[in-house]
Amino acid sequence: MAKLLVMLSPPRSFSSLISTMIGQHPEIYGFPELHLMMRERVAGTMRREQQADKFLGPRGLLRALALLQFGADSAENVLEANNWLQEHMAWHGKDVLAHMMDLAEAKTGATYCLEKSPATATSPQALHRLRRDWPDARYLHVTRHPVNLHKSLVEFISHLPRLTAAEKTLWLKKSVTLWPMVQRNILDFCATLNPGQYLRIRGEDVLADAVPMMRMVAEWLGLRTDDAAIDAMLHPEDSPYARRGPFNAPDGNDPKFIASPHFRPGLPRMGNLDDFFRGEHGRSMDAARRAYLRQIANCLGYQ
Amino acid sequence: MSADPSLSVIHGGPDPVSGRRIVTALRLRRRRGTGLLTLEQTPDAGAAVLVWYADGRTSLLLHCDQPAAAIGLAALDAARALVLLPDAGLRLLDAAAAGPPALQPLPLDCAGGVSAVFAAADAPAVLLRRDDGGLDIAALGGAAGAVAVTSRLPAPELATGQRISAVLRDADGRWVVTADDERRGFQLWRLDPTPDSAQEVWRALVQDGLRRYAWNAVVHDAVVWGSDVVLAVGTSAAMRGRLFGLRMGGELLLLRRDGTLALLCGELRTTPTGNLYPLADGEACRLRSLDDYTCLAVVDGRLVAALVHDNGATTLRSFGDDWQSVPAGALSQPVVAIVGG
Repeated sequence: MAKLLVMLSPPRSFSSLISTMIGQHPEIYGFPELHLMMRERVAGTMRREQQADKFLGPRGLLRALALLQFGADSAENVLEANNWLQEHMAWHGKDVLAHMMDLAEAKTGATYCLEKSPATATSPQALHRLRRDWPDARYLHVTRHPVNLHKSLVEFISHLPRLTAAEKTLWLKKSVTLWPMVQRNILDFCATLNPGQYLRIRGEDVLADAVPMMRMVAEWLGLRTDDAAIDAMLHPEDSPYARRGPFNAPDGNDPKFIASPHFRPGLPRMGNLDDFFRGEHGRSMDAARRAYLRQIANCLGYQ
Repeated sequence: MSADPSLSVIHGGPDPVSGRRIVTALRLRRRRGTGLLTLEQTPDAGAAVLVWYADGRTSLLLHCDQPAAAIGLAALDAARALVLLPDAGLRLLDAAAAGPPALQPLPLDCAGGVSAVFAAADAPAVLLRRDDGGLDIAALGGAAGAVAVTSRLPAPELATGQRISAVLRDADGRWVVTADDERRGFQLWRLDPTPDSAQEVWRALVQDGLRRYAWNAVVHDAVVWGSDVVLAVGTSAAMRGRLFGLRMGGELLLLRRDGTLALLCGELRTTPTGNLYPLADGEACRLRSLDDYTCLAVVDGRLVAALVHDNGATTLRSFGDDWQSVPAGALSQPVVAIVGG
């Protein structure tokens, strides 16, 4: 059976781009966002999505199941995938993931399957399920400067059509504490892992110089590091999940990434915490929260 | 303290009678056997410097109102030690001299104020940091106790909050200087001292793979082991206080003779030159239980590290040339110093 590689990061951390890049390694199968660890069983996962105004289940899960189990991620197959999930509502999330990993291995011969669902890192319970169900999984922690992430998050929230103005205000208020909260979840979780099970990379380093970063990830996993394998990782647009899906499961990854899935190298301009704390959102944090945010940022190599 | 003649482990926790807590300890060869020189934190927030005799008696050399962290203590050789007093400059203790041990003032011009002092165990020289940020190399010369500044280094780029934490003379005779920085991680310099000057060979900043994706902001201890310099690095108490409850493991880093860095124990990480894997295998490669600090010593050619755990207990591990470690003892109290040799 293929082994599990999990990417952990807060939302808006280049996770769609970087996970899709890594998933293009010839020995890795990269899933879209499956959300299978958010609840214990499939029934809970489906209910959670429906409460979030998704008519069917998790879109990434539906697309991947449609492709792997039914041959293509067409609208009809997405409905078939939904029916399959309805028939397996009592299954544990682990069982569905294992089933999909078997399908991916049979289809591509993958040694690793990569799952990335940013929501997982927001929930200590979901992380607990991961550790319990996949004790030998590898974990890749992707970070992004908190100031840049916050800016991206504000832009993302501002353009969410399903939120009311009041809801947007609430989400924006919460956005300043999202980064330290999720990073702390990840760091607490990863402190319990065995040596070698965990690797942390900065998303900015991938954007600035992807080849050595991709090679280091492949080497860590014990996979091919030849030029052909690394070159494949520079083409996330070749992933079946890097394009828009059918109308009933159109994304499953960050919509901005799907709209423009090519890797465009370049060193992003890093934010600055001192400037952030002088700004509107930074001033809304009290001194203790600012110190906490700065300390975690410093520990992860951000100033 | 253990009775092992080759290794003394000084463990912390306030003395139940005096309330003092040992902060630093050095082994000194006295005229009648081996003794220990300790710097201790006193209950009144001051500091005391004591000589411990082999029979358990102590002799108080100094008591002052300054906290122990402000006092410098460094061995010059097997029988002499330097003590830095923030307001009174440098003092020399010559344990081999006749008569009761005493601190002798040294004729050293420290007009700018001396804030730190270190010395290599086998080198009659000290590095002084002035309050203006510059560095002085001071060498012992002439008659016993005479000290002269033989060269002055350009001021290192120490930002606010940075603090020089260790100075060592490596196997090639060069100086290795470490400076702590809680925001950016510790810095590392290498200096090439000559009789007349000390040239900077290189300066490794945190971006060079020393700290990337790790917690190592402060150097807890450093020791020369064979041709390598071993650095025990980790977090400060302030950092751990701000991230209360987060288990941040310390690391043991090897600074090789060629200037490259290897990871003896710690989390694997990416660096600009590739993945940095720990050399030690198994659970020992990860010091995730480390909560406070690590003390290092070289005993009989093996590296001994004291790992202080969350609950204050200490595990001693001994590393061999193959980088692998074996348990070397355990204590229920936190170790604050290992005095070997």
